[in-house]
Amino acid sequence: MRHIAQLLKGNTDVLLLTLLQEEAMYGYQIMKELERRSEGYFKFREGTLYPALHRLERDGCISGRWRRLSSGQERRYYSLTPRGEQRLAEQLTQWQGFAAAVRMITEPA
Amino acid sequence: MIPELRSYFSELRESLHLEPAAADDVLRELQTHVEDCLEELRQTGEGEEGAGMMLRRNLGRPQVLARLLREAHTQVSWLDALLAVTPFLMAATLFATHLWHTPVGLAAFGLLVVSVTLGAYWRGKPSWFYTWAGMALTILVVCGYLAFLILQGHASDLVGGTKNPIILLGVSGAAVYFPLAVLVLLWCTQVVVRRDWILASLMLSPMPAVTLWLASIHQAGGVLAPDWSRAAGYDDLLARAFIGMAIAAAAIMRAQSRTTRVATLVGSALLIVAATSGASGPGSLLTAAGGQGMLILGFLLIPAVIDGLMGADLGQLFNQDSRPGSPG
Repeated sequence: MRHIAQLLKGNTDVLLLTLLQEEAMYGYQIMKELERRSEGYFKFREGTLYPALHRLERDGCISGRWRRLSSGQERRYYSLTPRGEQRLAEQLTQWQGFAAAVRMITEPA
Repeated sequence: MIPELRSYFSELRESLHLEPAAADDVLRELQTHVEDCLEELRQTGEGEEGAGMMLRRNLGRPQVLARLLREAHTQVSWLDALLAVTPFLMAATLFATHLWHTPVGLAAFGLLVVSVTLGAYWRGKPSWFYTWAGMALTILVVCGYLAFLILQGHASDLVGGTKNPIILLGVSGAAVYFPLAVLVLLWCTQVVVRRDWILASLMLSPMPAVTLWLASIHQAGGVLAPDWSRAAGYDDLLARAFIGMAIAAAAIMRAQSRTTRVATLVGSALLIVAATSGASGPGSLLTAAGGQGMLILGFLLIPAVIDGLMGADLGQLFNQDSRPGSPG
C-alpha cells in the first residue's frame, strides 16, 4: 500500500490535470470520474484531492471559480490554465518515458 | 447539517489557521462536497446518522485534513521568505554600521518600515507582512523608552510641584503612553493570533532584543550620553540578534510542519540569547543569558497563551497529528 501511495504521490497532478483538460469539473465530480475511469483502482480521499487541487491552483496550473446551479447549490469548478497545459505536457512526457523504461526492464524483447 | 459533521467542520475550522477569507472558501467547498457525498449515500438507502458517521470516517481526523489543506495553502516561496527577512537584515545593517546614530538613517529606516507595512496591510497581508509589522510595532518600544526618559528626567520637577505646562504636558503624555502602547500591542497581537499564534510570535520577535538593547545602552549612559563608545559596543550585539531573527524567520516561513515552526521559534530565542550574550558583561554571563533566554522565550509564547485563552485546546496549539493523511 505504501508503494502504491508513493506512486500516486508522484502522479496525482497528471491525473487531475488530464481530467481538467477535457472539461471544467468540481471536486466531487473529479473524485467520481477518476474512480469510474480507473474501474475503481483510484479512490481519492478528500485529504488527497483537495490539497492537490488547491496546490495546483496556487501554482497557477488550474483556476477555480464558484458557480451557482439552477437548484441554488454552489460548486467550485476548476479548469486548466495555459500554465497547467504546459505542466501536463511536461509531466506526461516524463511519465511516458518512465513507463517505457520500466517496460523495457520488466518485459525485455 | 448533521450534528456529527457540524462538529467536524467546527474542529476543522479551528485547526486550519488560514486567513479568514481563505478558510471560509475552503470550508464552503468541503461542505458542498459533503452534501454531494451525503446525497449519494441517501440514494443507496443509508440513514442520516449512518451517512454522517461514514462520511466522518472517510474524511479522517479534522486536524489531519486541516494540516494537509494548510500545507497546500501556506507553502511560502523563497521570494516571500526573502521579503520576510528583509526588515531584520536591514536592521542588522543599520546597527552594524552604527547608522542608527544619524537622524537621517534612523528616519529613513523608520519611514520605509512603516510604508511597507501599511502597503502590505492594504494588499491583504501577504505571508511576509508580519515581520515588517513587528518592526513597525518595535517603534512603540523605542517610543516607550523615550517616554521613560521624559518621566525619569522630570521626576524631580514633579516632586518639587512644578507648574510649568510644557513639563506637565510632557510628563502626562509620557505616563499615558505606556498603557496605550500596551493596548495597541495587545490588540495587534490578538488580531494576528486569530490567524496563527506562531505568526504573532514572529511579529513580536524583535521586541525582546530591542528592549534588552535599550536597557543596556541606558546603563552605558543612555542615548543622550556624550561618549558613545560604551553604547556603540552593543550595536554589534543587536546586529547579530537581528541576523539570528532573520535566519529564524526564514526557517519558520519555509517550514511546512507546524511542529518544526514551533521548534524553530523556541530555538530562535536561544539563538538571540547566544547572539546577545555579551550584553550583560562576562561576570554574570551564564545567569544573564539564562534569564534573558527565559524572558525572550516567555515573551514569544505570549501569543500561544492568548490563543489558549481565546478558546483553542492546548493540543491544537501545536496541532500534533498522530498519523499522516491517507494518500487515496
